[in-house]
Amino acid sequence: MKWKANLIRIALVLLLIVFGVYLYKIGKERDIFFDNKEIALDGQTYSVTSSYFVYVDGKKVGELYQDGRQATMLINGKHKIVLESLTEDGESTGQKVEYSFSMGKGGCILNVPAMLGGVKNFILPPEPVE
Amino acid sequence: MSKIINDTSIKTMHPAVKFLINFAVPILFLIFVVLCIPLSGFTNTYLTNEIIARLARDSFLILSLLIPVMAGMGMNFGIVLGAMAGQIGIIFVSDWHIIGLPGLILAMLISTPLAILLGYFCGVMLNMARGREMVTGFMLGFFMNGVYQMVVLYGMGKLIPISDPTILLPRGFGIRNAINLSGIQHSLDALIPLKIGQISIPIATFLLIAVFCLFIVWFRKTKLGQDMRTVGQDLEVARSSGINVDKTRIISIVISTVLACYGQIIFLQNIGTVNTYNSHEQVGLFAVAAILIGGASVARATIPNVFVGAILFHMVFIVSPRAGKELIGQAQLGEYFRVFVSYAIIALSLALYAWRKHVEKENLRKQTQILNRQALSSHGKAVGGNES
Repeated sequence: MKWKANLIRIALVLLLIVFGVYLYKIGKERDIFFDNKEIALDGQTYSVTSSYFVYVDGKKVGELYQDGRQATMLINGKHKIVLESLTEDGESTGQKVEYSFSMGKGGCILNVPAMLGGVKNFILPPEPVE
Repeated sequence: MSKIINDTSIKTMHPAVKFLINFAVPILFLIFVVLCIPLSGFTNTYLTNEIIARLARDSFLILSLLIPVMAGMGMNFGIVLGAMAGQIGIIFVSDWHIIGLPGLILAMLISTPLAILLGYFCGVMLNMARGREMVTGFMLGFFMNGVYQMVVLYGMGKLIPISDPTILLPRGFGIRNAINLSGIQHSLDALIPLKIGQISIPIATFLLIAVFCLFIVWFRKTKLGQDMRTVGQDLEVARSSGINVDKTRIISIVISTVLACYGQIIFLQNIGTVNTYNSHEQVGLFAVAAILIGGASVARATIPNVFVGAILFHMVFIVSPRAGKELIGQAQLGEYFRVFVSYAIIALSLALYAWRKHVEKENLRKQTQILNRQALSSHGKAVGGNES
């Protein structure tokens, strides 16, 4: 029957559209910012301790100086960040700290002092545009 | 009486002579390549790596030419339309920052409806230009190139929202000449990597090409595939068998255009950059040249023709500039020679095919004349015998 064949075709097209939306969601890169700034969360203040080289998933993002910001783009899902401490002269001290985090809806500002201070939700929402 | 050269007499030729006639073009190219390789000075490892990379990059595009040949449409120069559709998909995916394999597949999904539309348009045009499909496809490529450039240079950013400033021209609309595809580069090639010594083999890409080859083998056995073969052999016989000839021809072009679209996306993910206004231009010409070098003709093309042609064609690409420099002192002359050969091979193959068709027609006419004369003389003898 012709209507049955057309129904199957429409269903297949809808399936492809849904698949496309799924690919969009899993493949889309979003901006993420790494802030090395003092922050107050839940009544506690987390101060800047050092400057760092920032690596995400093995790739170098850049140098993150005190009160500085770095940016990169990441897809949704789990990522690994490695912070390599720097001296005042900008040389590496050889000390590295590794963290895992998940990119998802909402937050796109990763505050390094909060992360090092053990805060669970160290990825903060974007700042409101004035 | 002049000597008749036809399929029967060719069949009675020595097998070696028959082989030389049928595969004159690939043999000439093989000789050229064999002479140029030692002159170029490239190592075997380098050549192997280059050929494997280029085979993975281009085979899909060249394979998309097989189905229109099966349907008697000749060489589909209209695959350029599919390439343009693929590029538009890539532009959208780059703007949306969709990376990796999801980005690649999404580009294919987005560009498929556009490729189907363009393929349908191409098929309708080619049906109107029956007997002149190849030159019509060539001209359609030029026409759609103009439409594509108008859309990409003026429509995108204004009518079609594009937000990424790294893709848009500084004036606020129009796409830049080159788009960096670092997000999806090698997303298919690096999916299943294999390294044998210094030779890298993109297994995933070759698997996809193998699946496509199996699809072609299977397709030939389906009803639609058989209909296309019938249409390719004789339009009138196909029509009287109840086959919708026009629809079958359009379907063959649509399939070819969609597959060329995917082939262009695979090509671009390997290269890593889209030359927005140039990448698609030589696609038809080079794919057709490659398959003809592989021993295909306008009426017959097989899967081995694709791979043999791709290897020989790309070998010429790789070795001729260096060989030209060693021989003549200027690499540019070697490059000119390669471009000349690419265009000349298409002309030579088409001329050979036209010559052979003309000879067969002439021989058929002469045979018919001989038979008529024999019939008349035997009838005359019979009448004379009766009268006496």
